[in-house]
Amino acid sequence: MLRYYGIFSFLILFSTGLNAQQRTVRGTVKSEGGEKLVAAMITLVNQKGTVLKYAGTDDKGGFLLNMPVSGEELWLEVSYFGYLKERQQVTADRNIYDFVLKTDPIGLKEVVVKAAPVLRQGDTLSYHVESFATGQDRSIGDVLRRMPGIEIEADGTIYHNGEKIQNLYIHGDNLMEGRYGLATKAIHRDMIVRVDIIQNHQPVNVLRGKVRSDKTSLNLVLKDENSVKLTGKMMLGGGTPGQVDASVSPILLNKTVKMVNLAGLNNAGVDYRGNFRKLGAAGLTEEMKTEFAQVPLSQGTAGAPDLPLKNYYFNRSGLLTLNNSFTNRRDMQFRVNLNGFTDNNSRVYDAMQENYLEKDTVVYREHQSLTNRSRALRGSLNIEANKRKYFLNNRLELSVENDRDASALDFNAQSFHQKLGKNLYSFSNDIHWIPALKNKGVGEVRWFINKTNDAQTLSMGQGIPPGFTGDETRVLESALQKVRIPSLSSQGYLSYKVAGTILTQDYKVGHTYEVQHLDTRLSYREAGQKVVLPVDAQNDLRWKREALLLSSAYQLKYEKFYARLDLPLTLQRITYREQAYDLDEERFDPLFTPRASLQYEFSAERKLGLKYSFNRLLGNMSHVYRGAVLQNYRALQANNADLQEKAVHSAGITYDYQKSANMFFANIGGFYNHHSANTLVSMILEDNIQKMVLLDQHNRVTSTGVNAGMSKYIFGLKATVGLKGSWSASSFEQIINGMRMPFSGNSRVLRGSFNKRFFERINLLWEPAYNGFSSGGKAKAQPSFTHNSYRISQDVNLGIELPGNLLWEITAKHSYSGQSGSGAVKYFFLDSKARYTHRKKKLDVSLEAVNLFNIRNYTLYSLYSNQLMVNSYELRGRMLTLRADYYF
Amino acid sequence: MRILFVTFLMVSCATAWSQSPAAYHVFYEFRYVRDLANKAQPYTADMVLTVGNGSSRYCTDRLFTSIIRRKKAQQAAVAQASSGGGREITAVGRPGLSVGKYGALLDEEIVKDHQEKELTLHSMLGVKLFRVEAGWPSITWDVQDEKKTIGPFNCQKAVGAYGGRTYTAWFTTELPFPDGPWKLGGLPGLILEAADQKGEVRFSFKEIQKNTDPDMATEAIWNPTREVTSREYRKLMEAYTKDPVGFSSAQYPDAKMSVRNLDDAESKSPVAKVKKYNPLEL
Repeated sequence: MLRYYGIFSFLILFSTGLNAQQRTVRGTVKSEGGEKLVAAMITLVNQKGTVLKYAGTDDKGGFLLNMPVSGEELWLEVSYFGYLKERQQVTADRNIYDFVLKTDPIGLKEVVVKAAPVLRQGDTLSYHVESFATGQDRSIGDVLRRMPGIEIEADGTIYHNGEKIQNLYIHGDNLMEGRYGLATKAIHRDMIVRVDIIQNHQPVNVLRGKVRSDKTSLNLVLKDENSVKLTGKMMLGGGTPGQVDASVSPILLNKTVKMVNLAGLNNAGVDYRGNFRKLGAAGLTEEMKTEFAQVPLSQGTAGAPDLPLKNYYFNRSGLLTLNNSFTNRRDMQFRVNLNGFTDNNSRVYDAMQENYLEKDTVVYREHQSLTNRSRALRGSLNIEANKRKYFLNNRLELSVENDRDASALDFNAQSFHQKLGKNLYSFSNDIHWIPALKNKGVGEVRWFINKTNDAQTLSMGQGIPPGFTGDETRVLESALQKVRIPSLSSQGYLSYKVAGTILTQDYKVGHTYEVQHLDTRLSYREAGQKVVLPVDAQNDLRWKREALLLSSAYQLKYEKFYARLDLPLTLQRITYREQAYDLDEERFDPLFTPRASLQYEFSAERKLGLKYSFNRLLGNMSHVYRGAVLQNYRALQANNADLQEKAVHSAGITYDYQKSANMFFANIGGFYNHHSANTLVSMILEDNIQKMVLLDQHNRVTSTGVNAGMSKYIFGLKATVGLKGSWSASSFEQIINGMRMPFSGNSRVLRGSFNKRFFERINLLWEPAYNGFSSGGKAKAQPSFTHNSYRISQDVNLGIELPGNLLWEITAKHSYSGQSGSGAVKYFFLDSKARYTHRKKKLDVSLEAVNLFNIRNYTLYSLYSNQLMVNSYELRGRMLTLRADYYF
Repeated sequence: MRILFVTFLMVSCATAWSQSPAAYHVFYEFRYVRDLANKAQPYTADMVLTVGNGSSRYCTDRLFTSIIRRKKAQQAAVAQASSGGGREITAVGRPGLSVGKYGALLDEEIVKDHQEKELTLHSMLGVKLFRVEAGWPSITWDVQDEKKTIGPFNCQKAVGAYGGRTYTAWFTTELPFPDGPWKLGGLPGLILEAADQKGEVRFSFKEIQKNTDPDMATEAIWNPTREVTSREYRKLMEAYTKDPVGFSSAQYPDAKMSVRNLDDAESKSPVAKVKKYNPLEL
């Protein structure tokens, strides 16, 4: 008996097992229509309805069930969703039970839906401001930072999921014209009900559903679109030494009138340009631009140090920025944007440039104290109708920039004063019309005109090195370089685009007309006499370029494969003439400059990209003027060649690899560029002057590089470690003091990062980096030379959230740099900032300490071809600033 | 070219799995002692099992609600499009890190196909979606005589072992689906309640609703392409649970991670970490 019992339990557990001694019942389950029902449940139940055994039907609707030994009455029940339950009593004389089920729809309760703070609507992701804002948050920018997927960079640029947003709209209006930094800082969060992230945003209504966009935009939706309340922010700050920082920004936003304005002044090292820096697209469609040739004059040769601007910005700045728009009843929008900026800043630096020649080293030393005084006014008027039937936009822009810079300079132990004046006027008008077409295509008509006048005057006082006159023995009282470049350009095009799900085709016919005039004069005074240098220091060059563009572009996207091919053909005619140099050139070039790129996704974690382009570039006016121009007190530039013609082949490869399972991410890429040009730079380095002439000689430049990056989450440490490295090398030739020399250089960069959060309230970011440069050359029958420089730096950022609405941030920067043949330089900068937010009153108080160790001087090494530059800058010392922000 | 297209179509067809119209949405409360150092506060979540003919989908109530909302929005967008002003609808981007009061969310979606005996597990770990090759759970149930009613349903007891735990399940033949919460199923009726014998994992029936949306199917909501093995998945899940923020930040090395507490948007307290991790499958 015990043995039988064991067998029975075995059978109960493995009901599909067959035993010859057991009785087996079988059958099929079908619907009324004769359809076999797969995975229907057959249960063997007793009188009480208790399930004793069960089985499911196979893919033919059949079932098989081993019967237990039982004295009870048993039933076979079949249930299947959507059908009425059937049952048949099991009788001793029958082993086959077939079922035919009748349909039965059942009804139960309704679905209940709860509200969620993030609502995805098609391509739009909506964030309800109230769901994300905390008591500390004041501006809409503060709340944006808390929204998942949104990041704001230090300069104000907004990213969504790592992708830069195309633009920021206020209640659907492009009020800020892409200069939205001020809007996020000044608009109070109470004014905004919702932030919409619109993916694949096509802002032009007439193109919707026709031209797909892969851009993401952000829209701030007003809480009260009829509000007439004036709100804004006021800030007052002061600190040592003698610092003032104050601003006011009145804001009014409703559906017809929008106004985001700011007025401010400071001498505390705050850069106002952040308020009107272009972060997004200016208009709803791609911007038209003209790049005119320039001949820039400068007072010195040293660039800016690689430190945050606040460390060396000795400023007195004022700003007025107005962004106002009005929408009429016919949905026509009128917008006026105006930026007025005045800035006086001063800078003191020492610069040394060593030029390594095959036998000799020419050294230039300069010490300069500069005062820059700039005034800029930029205004634009935009009229826009963005309708279902058409898009019409006209944008008129005017800008005036005026710089009055002065400096006292010591150069190779000679002292003199300099003055640099710059006046730039610019006018442009862009009219753009896109009508709705009946078919799938999109047609466009556009015309853009731009007129500028660029005038510069560089005057140098007594003591100016006379090297540029060709006679080092002269004693000059002063020298004057004038440059004036009036330019005019007109660009127009007609285009037709057909977008498909797989293939997008784009055809364009365009016309460009460009005229420029270069007018330069170099003169000096000697013994009370004004001497205008002979003709070779003057230019009166007239330049004209006309081009007809015929282009077709194709984009193919299918599954994991994406390809793009651009086939632009430009028929271009350039003429330039100047009587004094017997220059009267005319050339016609058909330029075919194809570009192709290919991307293939092997899987979600592996991607390969290939790129190739061929470009034929023709130089501009700045490459053909014959008369010398003194670009700064020691650089004299002229040309003695035909128009520069460059053929550039570029190829690149990238490979992305992720192994999410191991939390490992890597990418690797490489590039190769080959330029061949018909001109070569010839440089003559003398003790006090550096002359550059572009000559008619064949020239080849190659550059190659590889870069790689990886990041890994260390499971054990619960921290992320990253490492990035790159290596690039280039080789080219230059003529230096009459000798053609090959140069080669390479740069190596290795950067690491370590990020860990401790106790959830402390965030540590450590970024060590190594930068190395080598440069060398070798002339025929001469020994080769090489120079090296390196820099090891470490950046540490520690952020601490303290109880009581207090935030404390500490930033440290350490660097160690040196170069072959001289000692190393070390720096350690420490900044700290604390902010207190009063929840109830609309008041924030912050204390910022910059440069706690009071470092007053900074030296930077940089190496380029045969030149080593050592620049040393005077810095703002320790600064303490207390600021109060009040929101009204 | 045509051959290439056909091949592409075949490949894309092969990757689609079977689904059926949704019949019921069954709501469960899920309680799970995830942190053995904090047994008093188990992880809790509302889960929804959507059953249909021969297939099912099991996910969090939050994800389920989002799909209902998304469908509504899509309908609105289609209506807008037919009136001439619609915009194309595309896949969603990746969100920032969402956490709950218990720290890392256990955000899994399980799709079962009873006819093919296929179980697919999708999981959001941090800010990335993964597909896990989980395998079909063939649970051998010991059906017992004991009965009780849960809600309006008569249920019968069954005991079976899965994933290192022994579960006591209560199923009802009144709901003829061989399914249940999480990976449990295979009984001749829906499992409305299940608990492991250690008292660490529990699925309790809350509510059932008939599906009223004719377009709602049991198809997967997520479609991850990143595939990991069960072993790799367990390791990732453990690392994520122990340090949600650090783990997620490591997933996007160059981006700054934004964190949102779904249970309390105002929350200033740090994201909870699990100290003594007690995996669901031992």
